[in-house]
Amino acid sequence: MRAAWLRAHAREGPDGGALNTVTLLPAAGGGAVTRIAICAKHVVDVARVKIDKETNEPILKGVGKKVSVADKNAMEEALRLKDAVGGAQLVVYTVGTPDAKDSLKELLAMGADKAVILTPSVPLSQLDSLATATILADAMRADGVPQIIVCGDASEDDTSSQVGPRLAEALGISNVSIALKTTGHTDRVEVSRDSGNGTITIDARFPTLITVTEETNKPRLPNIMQIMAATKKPVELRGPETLPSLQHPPVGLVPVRVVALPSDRKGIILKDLPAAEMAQRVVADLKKAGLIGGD
Amino acid sequence: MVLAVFAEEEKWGKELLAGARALAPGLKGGKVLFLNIGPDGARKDPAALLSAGADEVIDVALPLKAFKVEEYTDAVVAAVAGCDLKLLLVPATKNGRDVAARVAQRLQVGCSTDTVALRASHGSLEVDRAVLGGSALATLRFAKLPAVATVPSGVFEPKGGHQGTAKRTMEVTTDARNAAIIGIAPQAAGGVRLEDAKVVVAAGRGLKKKEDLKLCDALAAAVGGEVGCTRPLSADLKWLSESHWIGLSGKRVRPKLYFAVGVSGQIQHVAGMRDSGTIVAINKDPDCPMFSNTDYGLVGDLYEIVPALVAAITAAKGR
Repeated sequence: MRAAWLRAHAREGPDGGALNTVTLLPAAGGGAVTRIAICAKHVVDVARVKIDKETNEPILKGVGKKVSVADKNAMEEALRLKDAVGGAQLVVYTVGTPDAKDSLKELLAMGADKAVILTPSVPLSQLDSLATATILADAMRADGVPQIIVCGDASEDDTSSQVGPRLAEALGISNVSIALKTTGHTDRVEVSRDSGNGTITIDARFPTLITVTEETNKPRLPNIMQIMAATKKPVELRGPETLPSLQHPPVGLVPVRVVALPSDRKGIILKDLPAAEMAQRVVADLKKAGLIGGD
Repeated sequence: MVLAVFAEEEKWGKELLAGARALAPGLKGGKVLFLNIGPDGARKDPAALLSAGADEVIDVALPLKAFKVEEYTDAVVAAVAGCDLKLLLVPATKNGRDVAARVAQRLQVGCSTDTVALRASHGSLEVDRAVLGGSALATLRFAKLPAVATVPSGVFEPKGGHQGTAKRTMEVTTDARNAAIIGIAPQAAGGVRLEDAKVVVAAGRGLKKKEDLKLCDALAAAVGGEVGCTRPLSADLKWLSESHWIGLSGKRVRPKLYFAVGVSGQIQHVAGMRDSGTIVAINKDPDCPMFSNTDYGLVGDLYEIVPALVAAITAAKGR
C-alpha cells in the first residue's frame, strides 16, 4: 500500500502545484489532512428532456442544466469530514465545459474553497467513465492527491456508478462505495456500507475515496451571504493543453446512438369507479396473465 | 481466448454464464471461466457452475470476512491475467458495479453499467443501456476488447446441461490499500433482497403515516412479494431502511409485477423500476407522472383501493 501511496504522490510538489519536484512525504496517516476533494457533474435536468417525435431522439439542446443531485450529498459529506479532521482546503473538480460554473457556484456556496473545471479537446458526449476518471486522476496528481475524495455514486444523466471506484483505482487508493455513514478522524475515516447481506464498517486510512447517495445525508442550504461570497471564490478553467489526458482522452465505450425508450405499457387507466370494481378488473387481468394465483 | 463471469450470487452467476456462452461465438472467444472468488464459505459449488456453462471454475480464496473491493479487484485481475480475455460479465449489484469499475480501470478498458442487451459479431461488442433517468436507451460500442459489463438479473436465462469439468485453485496476493473491514452487522431486521423478488410493492408519499405501511405489507403478503419504497420514505421519514429504497441510486429492480402505492413517479424512482414486467399504480392524482409509465393506473384513494386489491387477490387465489 505504501508504494501505491507514494506513487500517487510522487509528482506532488511542496506547494501542491509544481510537478517536477519529488518530495518526501509524511508517513501515511501521520500527517494532518490538508486537502479534501469532491467530484461533481453539470448535467441536463433529465426530468425536462423532451423527445423529438420525428427522429425519436432526446432533445438535449436548450434543456436547463444543474448539479447532479448526489454531488450535493458528496459536498455535504466532505464538509462534515472537513470539520471532523480539523479543517482542510476543499476543492471541487469537474470534467466539463466552462458553463459548469453555474453548478459549481452552488457547491462553492455550500462551502467549497475552490473549483476546477477540466475541459477536454473533444465534445463531452464522447467521454466515458474511463476518460473522466483518468482526467480527474491526472488533475489530482498534478495538484497533490487529496487525503479524502468524495463522489456522488452516480450522475443523473448517465448513471454509470463508475467514476468513483475508477478514480480510486487510477490513484492506487482504497474506495468505499455507497456509504451509509462516515466518521472522520485525523488520519482515517470509518465508513459503513450495505454489503448486500448486511452492513459492514471499513476503516480506511488516508488517502481514500468515498461515494455517497441521496440516502447518506441531507445537503445544507447555503444562506444568502454564502451565495454572495461564492461568487468571489476562485473557479479555475483548465483547457486541453494542461493535461495529456484532456488532449487525448482514453475512451473505452463509443456512443453509437441514443433513442427514446419505447413505452410499451398498456396505459389502462381506471377512474371514477368503486374501489372494489377497479380491483377486480385489474386482478382478473393479472390472473389471466399468470401473475397471481399461480401458486 | 476467454470470456469470464464473476458473481457473488450463484443464481445470477448461472444467468451470466448462459450469456457468456451465447456471446462467445460473436467475440471469437473460446473458453468460459467462472471466477469463484470470496472468503471460505462464500464460494459456490463448482459442479453447479460447470453445468450452467462454465468450462472452468477458478477458485480464489480471500482472507476476508465480507466483500471488499480492493481485494476482489486484485483477485479478478489475477485470475484473468495472461489469458486473452474478451469479456467480463458481472452482476449489476452495488458490489458488482464497484469491482467491475475498478477492474476496467486497471485494464484501461470500457465498462457498461446496467447493460440490458449485448450484441457480439465479428469480434466486436455493442451494448444497450438506459440513460437520461431511464427515458432513453443508449447504444454503445466497445473501442477495444476486453469489454467489461454489469448486467441486471433477468437479461439472460440460465441454462443447464453444460459439461464443463475443469477446476483450478489459484493463490492470489492482494493489496488492501490500507483499508480494513472492522465491523460486520448481519442484515438488519426487515432488510430485504428486492432484486430477487418476483413481485414488489412500492410505498410512496401517498401514505399518510408509518403505520399505514401495513396496507402495503398486506398486499405484498397476498401476492407473495416484498415491500420497497421511494426515497423520501427511507431517507427523510426513515419509515423503512435503506435496503428498501428503489431508485436511481437505490435498488434497481425488475420484478414480474410491480405495485406503485401512492408513488408520484419522480424520474429518479422510475429509473429504478422501469424494467419491471407489469406495473400497477394506485394514486389519487390522475396527472401524476407514474400514470404515464404504467400498465394499470387506478385513480382513487389508496386507503380504499389497496384493501380492495388484497380482497380481490385473495378471492382469485381461492378459486
